[in-house]
Amino acid sequence: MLAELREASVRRKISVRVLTDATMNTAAQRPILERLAAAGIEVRVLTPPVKDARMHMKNLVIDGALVITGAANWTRQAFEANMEDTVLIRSPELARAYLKKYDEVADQCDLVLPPSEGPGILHLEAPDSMSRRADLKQNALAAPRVQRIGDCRRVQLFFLPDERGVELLKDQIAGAQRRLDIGMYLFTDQELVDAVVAKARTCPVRVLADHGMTEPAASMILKQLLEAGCEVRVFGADRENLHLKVLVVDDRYVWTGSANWTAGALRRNVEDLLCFDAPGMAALYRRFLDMAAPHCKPWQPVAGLTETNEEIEAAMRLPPTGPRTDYAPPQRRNLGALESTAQVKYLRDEEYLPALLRLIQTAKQSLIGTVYVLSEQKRDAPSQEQIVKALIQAARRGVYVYLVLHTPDASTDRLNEHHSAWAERLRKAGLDIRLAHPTIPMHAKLLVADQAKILLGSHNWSEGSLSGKRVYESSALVVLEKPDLRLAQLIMDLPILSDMRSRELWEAERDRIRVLSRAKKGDKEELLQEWGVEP
Amino acid sequence: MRAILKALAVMRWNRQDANPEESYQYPIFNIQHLIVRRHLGIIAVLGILGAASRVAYAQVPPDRILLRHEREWIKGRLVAETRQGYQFIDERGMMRVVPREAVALLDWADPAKGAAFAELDKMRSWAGLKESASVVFLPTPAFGKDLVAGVAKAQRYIHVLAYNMQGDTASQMTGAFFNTLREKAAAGVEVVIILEFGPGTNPRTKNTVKNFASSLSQSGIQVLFMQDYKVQHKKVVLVDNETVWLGSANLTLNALAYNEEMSLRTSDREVARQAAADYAEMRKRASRDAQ
Repeated sequence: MLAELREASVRRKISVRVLTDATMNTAAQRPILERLAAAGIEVRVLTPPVKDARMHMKNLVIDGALVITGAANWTRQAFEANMEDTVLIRSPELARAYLKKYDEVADQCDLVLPPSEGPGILHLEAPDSMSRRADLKQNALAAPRVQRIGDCRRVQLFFLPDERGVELLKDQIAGAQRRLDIGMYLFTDQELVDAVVAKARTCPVRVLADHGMTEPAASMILKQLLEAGCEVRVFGADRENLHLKVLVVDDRYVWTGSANWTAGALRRNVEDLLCFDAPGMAALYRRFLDMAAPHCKPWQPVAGLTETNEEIEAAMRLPPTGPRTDYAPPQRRNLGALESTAQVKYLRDEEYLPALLRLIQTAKQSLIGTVYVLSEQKRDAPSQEQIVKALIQAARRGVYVYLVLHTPDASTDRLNEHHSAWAERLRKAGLDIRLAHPTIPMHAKLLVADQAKILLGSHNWSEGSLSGKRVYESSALVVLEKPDLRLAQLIMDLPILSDMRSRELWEAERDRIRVLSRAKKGDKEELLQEWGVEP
Repeated sequence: MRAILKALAVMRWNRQDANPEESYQYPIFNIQHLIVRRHLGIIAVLGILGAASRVAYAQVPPDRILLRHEREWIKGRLVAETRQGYQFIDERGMMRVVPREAVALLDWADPAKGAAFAELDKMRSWAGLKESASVVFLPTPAFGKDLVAGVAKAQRYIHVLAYNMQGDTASQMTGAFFNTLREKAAAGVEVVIILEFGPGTNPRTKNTVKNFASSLSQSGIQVLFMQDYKVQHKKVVLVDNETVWLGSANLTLNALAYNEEMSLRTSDREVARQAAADYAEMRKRASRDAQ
């Protein structure tokens, strides 16, 4: 490209003006600019007035009639390795708009390399900086052929920073009816993330992202998108990038240009942002993204980086459960005393929480317990939150956390809702939370760590109880002389709900058991038959 | 800006591997693969120890691992804990690494090894625990039986902290308990029951409790009421300042007969001393008058 520019200037005496960003004025890049200047090209370098801003446009206006723009920088990386798009638009009107912007930018440039006066020396050698990149492999899969699009109804061009452009972009995302297809190199602007996340609830969204987005900080964005239901795929490896800045809305509108979806690009940089109302162009982009998608990895977070990955692994850590087959009421257990030799500490009121946290935090292999009350998930419950965090961390360490939460007999009891919500949240984090059989009043407050470190007593897991501020409580920490399976087994043998695959399923089972326990004998068989269960 | 345009889009897309199928070798699948493999158990590391370990079984009981998914015990010898999980020689003499995530419970044949693994010493030193005592865990209905037998041995004091209580006609168990208290009170033992009686207690319960309390007081049993902002939820019985019962069970029919409860009994001196001090504090806060 550079050689061709120089040739155009020197041989064909065409007036060439290059506007570039201050990043091109570094020691490594400056010689390129100097060579251009030496070929009689006017080179202007912009240092944008705003801190950390860039002149980021990558476009070319030829003869005041043809505009070439898109995502591709003029680098070998872009032309040979990346996934990029470039749009050629034959439109004097659009060209005028670009040239007007160029004049504006040119006036702001603080550095002008004057074009050399003489005839200019032309060496058409391959520049050093490029020969070093010879390790880049050539295309194995060709880009789609050049496609002509004749049905462009309207194009809107914004030079950023321009709030109107960003607003229109957000409006179009929010107003999408059928689907969104996004190919985005950097996608970190929270407002746009929020807009896409909101839209993903009502219509399909596909996001093809660059592998750079899988870095820990940015992967939080991918996680948000994934959780909102977007199809998230990631392209590339070390040397190839998905460098697109493309959005296709409802197979009708195409957004492209130089601007990534970052706060810097949208609000500080000099960028161009185009919105085409062109179904044919949209169809072409859509086909391209369809073709590209299988070459992008379906994204799931990498181990240890985010919670989403934890959730995947968490699901794998939980034993499988399934529908109840036996609706016979559980037998009452006639349990005897378990004698042991141990060391005991009396824990009054606020002394319980530190011991509980200690127990959870130092658990090596298992935490088996019963919980009568784990009260509502509230913001202002620091003690409860500490426990929950510690439990989740224990599960992450590989500790088997098996907790049976009480299920009230009465369906009107608010504990139903709270415990169901906790089961849902904590099972996602890899804790094997179970709900007690509703006919069993499970009142014990017992936690056994590694079959040997035991907490039991009157403390419930409610904020008032844990903080020691609202309730007088007494519990005990017991450290057995040696591990003893009996207490853990006693807990694991408690009658519980059978189907923990989803909140919907366990609540349905719970409700059935309640209905059944109140039904007359004759009705029971009918109910069971209705549910497809052998009486 | 409105224009009739001819737009020409050129897309550039380069990808080294020509076969899209191959590009499905992605981390997500690798992760799942890894996990599945981990849960199947089990990576064979070494088979050569087989003979030696089989000999070992004949002499000592095996260690056991309860598998999390299968809910099955596997028997063998726990060799070591590594970053990957537990090195385990199974019954066929195969050395496996059983990942932590595949394990529900570990059962060490050698209690000393189990104690070391569970780092019991660390917990003891954190809690400042020194002396061992007998501790009896009391689920339902063992608690009720044990408690009735325990208070029957009282010589000087029976001090009770409870959230609520039910009359002695509720069941055989509560009947036996309160009858014992009456006998003890008649024999000169100081019997005190401190109950929650705050604004949160419902009026019907309050009435029942009040009536029952006045009948107990005729037998020389003092019933005191906690009417603080703070709720009296302790369930502690202290006999002669020596033996302590504490746990989740209230003095009700359900707690003694039907609920899943867990309490304990111990005569550990320090626990008894602390429980007695706690009781003394509560007694100061409680009043004779039920409002």
